[in-house]
Amino acid sequence: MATTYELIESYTVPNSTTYGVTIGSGGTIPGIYTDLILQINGRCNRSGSDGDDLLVRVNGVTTGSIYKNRRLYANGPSASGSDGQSGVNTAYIGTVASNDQTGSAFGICTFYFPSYAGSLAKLMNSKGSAPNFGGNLAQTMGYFRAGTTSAITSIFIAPWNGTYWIEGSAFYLYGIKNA
Amino acid sequence: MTSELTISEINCTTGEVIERPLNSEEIAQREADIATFAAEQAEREAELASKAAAKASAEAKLTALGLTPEEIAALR
Repeated sequence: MATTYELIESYTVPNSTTYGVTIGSGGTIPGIYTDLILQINGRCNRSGSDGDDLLVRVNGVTTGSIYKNRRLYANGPSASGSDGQSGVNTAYIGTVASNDQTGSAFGICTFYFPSYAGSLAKLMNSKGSAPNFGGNLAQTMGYFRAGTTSAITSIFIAPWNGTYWIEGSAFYLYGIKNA
Repeated sequence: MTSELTISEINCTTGEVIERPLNSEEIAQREADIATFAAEQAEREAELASKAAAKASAEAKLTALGLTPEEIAALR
């Protein structure tokens, strides 16, 4: 049976000084898969909120206003709002736990990049939640579009409001093959 | 936390991990991102405040027309 779901790389933050993580530095995400999944079990040092959003860039592109994103978000049991941006130089998407979450809970965030090596603009779907053991919850669903026709060969992720990832935050990049 | 912030770079070909301090370009980019976020956050908050004010105004007008709170809630 063909292997259709494969771990490409994983990384665990060793100490609480890491601001950003680049997976595929030097453009080394291989283009041999159909889709990519990036799983983050993350917690950052933001305070005053249950969760934090993420800053995402692909291929090191920080200029050109190529990103567009939309989010539905909630704090607590019900959806509470939506927002989005167009023509910006970073995607603002996803959710991980803030440092306010009790029990050292880590957030769970999944990004799905279909046809990441194709020649069309790149899309990404995200689901993120920052649960804790006291009942509070921050969560988002969203998508982003990167207006690049190049294959995605690196992904940069940082907390949006927080300054750094908490030690133990983990990143897993998987490749998906359709056969 | 007084330690210097770092970037972790993971090479997917070799598995090599480099953990290094932010360079001057990355520090400048981060500062620009923070400024951009603050401006966008202020814009979002202003939009939410504007919507809340319009909602309160509309509800006050409906109340003046004689609608009960239950009837106003049913319109939402």
